[in-house]
Amino acid sequence: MVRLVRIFLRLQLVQLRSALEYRADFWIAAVGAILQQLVSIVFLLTFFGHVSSLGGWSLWQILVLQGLVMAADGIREMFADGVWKLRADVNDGSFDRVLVRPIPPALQQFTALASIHGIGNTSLGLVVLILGLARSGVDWTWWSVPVLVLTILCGTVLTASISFLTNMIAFWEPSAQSAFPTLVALMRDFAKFPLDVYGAGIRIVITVILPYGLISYYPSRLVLGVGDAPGWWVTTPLIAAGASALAASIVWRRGLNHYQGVGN
Amino acid sequence: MTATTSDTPVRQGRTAPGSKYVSLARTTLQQAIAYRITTFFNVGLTFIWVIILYYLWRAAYSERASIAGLSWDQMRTYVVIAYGINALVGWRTGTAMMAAIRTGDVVFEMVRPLNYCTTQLARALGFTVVEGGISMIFTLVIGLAFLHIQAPASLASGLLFVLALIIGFLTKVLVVFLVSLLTFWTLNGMGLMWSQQAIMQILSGTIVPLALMPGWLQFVAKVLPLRGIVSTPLEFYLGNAGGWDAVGLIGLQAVWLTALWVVANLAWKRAFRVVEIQGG
Amino acid sequence: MSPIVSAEGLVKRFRRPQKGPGLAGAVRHLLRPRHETVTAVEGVDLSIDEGESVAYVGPNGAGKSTTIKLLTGILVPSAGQVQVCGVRPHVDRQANARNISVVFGQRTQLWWDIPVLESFRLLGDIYSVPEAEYRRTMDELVDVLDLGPLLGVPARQLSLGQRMRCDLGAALVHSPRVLFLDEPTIGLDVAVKARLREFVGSMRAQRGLTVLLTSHDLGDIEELCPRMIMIDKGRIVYDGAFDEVTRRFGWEQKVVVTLADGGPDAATLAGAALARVRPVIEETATGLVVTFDSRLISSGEVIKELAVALPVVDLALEETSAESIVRRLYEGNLTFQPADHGATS
Repeated sequence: MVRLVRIFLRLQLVQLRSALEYRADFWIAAVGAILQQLVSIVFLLTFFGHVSSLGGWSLWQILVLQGLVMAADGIREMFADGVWKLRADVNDGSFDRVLVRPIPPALQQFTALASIHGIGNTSLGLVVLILGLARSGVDWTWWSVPVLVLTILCGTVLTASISFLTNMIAFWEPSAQSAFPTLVALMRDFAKFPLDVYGAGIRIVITVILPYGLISYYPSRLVLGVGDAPGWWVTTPLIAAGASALAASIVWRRGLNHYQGVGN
Repeated sequence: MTATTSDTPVRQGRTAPGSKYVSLARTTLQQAIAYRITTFFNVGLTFIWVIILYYLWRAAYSERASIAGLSWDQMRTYVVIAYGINALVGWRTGTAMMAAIRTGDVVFEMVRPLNYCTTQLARALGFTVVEGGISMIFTLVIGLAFLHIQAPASLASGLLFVLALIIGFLTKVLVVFLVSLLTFWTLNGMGLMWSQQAIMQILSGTIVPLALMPGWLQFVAKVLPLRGIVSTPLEFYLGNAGGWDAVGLIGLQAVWLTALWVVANLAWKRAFRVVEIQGG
Repeated sequence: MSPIVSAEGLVKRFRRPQKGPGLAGAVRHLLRPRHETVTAVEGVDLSIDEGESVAYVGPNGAGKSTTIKLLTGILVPSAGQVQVCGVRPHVDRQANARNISVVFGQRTQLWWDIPVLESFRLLGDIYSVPEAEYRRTMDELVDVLDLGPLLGVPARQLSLGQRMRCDLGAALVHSPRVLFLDEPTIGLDVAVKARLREFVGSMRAQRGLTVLLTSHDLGDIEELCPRMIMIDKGRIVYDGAFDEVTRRFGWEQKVVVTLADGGPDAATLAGAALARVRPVIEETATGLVVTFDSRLISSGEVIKELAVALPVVDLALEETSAESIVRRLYEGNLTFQPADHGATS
């Protein structure tokens, strides 16, 4: 296990070195990614220039939601973005190499890309999160910070598992474009706002099917003290991370079996 | 279309440049149709934010009747159509322009007797037919069936809307073109596209109507050409600009379009020269 | 001693969807999908002992790369057994991976943007090679493959020949017991090819490396592989010494006859003279080409008959070489008697 972690980190380091070869590109990508997130922030700031609360949430409390999602996804981008290369690898046969090395194929796929520019999103997310927390008048307890840290880490697992799952279509439909995985990934933007404002349909989707809500809304209500938040909600990030990781590993195994049965 | 690439030499003398651009547009149209499923998802992607914004504004309007002069009906209409317009020139146009530069195919452009900028415009048109068509489907289905948006305020408004839309479309293509030229100096097209999309979403009035922005941002946005892409057409659509205001807005759009056209042509010629000096 | 690579009754079938063209076809396929079954490998038996060097030869689509993928664990067999170093490749994949190494001719396993040495170190880590052994192996590889000047260079800056040398070295960092080479010399110039062949040969001699090679290059096969397995249409058609393949398939021989002027009925005359063995006779600008079955008649007799029947000016007996036979295999021209079917060692 330790050995796998070490190899994982070393593979990431290799990608980092590759990325640093193209320093200008790194900055452009980082800036671009941050600007994309900023659009959401600009909206919020403008919105709250005319309105003082949204579904009972203040601007600062909503910034907490934004920050949690951004940070979680940013970390995923830094460490597990290689899943977006799965389709290309399956199509040109490079995936074969993954099967003849004595380390888990999933680990190799995660490290196929290292989008180091994800550090931009992570930083922005943390800044936004801290800002939001500072101005929300939080009733700090001993578990506030651990819960937040847990939420972000579970959020990373969730977003990584979902993007992994959706990209596995490549096993069954190698010619499919990557628009579907991108579409699903973008659904996390719903979780950047309080789920109270949405209709029932979306609330269910974002809580149960694509449980982005479990790594933003529910833990936030607990920490920020918005409305009545039952204590067990502290486990919602764990549920999201666990369930999605389980689903991803099951489908991954199926996908590998399919690839080995059918070739390319 | 009567012009084809297989023009006889006799005809070619008279209609040549026009027919070449048309056939370029047709080629990309065929490509775009081949990728219609991806385009469908890509356009659908952008409409996620239409749904988000719908709910957010609905919550805001539950407590007040008007924000910065816009009613709930108007705001709803604004959001749907803004994103519909935004999707007319989508991901594919920009990445296609950048890809040509990155793969070096652009050297072919350099030796052809065509205006590179017009070539890209013609190509964009091909993509837009499909992206625009799909966008229109989304706009109509979501807008009319689900969100019940309004029709244009009047016939005159509708016509002005279409006029502003066309100028706005050309404006957007030119801006995307200018950004794509940067690919000569950097390899990361994605980062450029992200930046351009984000800035455009803010300053064109897509994410939020310009009228709602804080004073300083509004000023910046009103001075730049990006407002002509989304904000200006929608002002006509909602009937918020008539008479001399209309003339002024269209005039501003036209001025910016001309300026961009000039800058774009200067820019690509300079870029090609620089690249030639460096050996491509 | 049991073989290091063994396959018994290996079968691989693929189900290919049959989609009609256009939108109508796609919809129809969605409602009522039709599939055809393609058998890529049909009842292949293999037995390779440790230290052997075997060439695996066959035209495209014959089942060559499918067999390699079955042996390396990339594909799962539809039926039959595979064992490599006592491990079933598709079942215990990671265990199998430690024992083998694969070099794909067209694709490098080196990381593109980092110096070659870094790739080697990374592989040492991935394969858990102990430090001392890694150093020893590296010293040897660098020396024999002359990798010294290449170690600090990122893979993307290497020429094809240099990259191939590095890939070969990379494949041996963890001292595998079996080395699979899939078209390793494609696109390489003669000098580099010679060097690579020399290297593989020495690895075999010194380390007892078992080598399985697929190649279109007969030079590779001739120099490296005393044993050749030929596969055609999913079945093994020959398994034995390279030199002996002529004995198996070399029964078809050609005599090229140059005739003096005025031989209008040459073909008919020749046909009549050799009628009992039913040769194939083609007319050329200068004479005839007579193809005959050397099991039915010796070349000496053929020459005698022709010389008697026709105004022969010159005769040439075409050599049947192993190359020509393999070439014919690739062209799909190889015919064999049903009795010869089946693998022998």
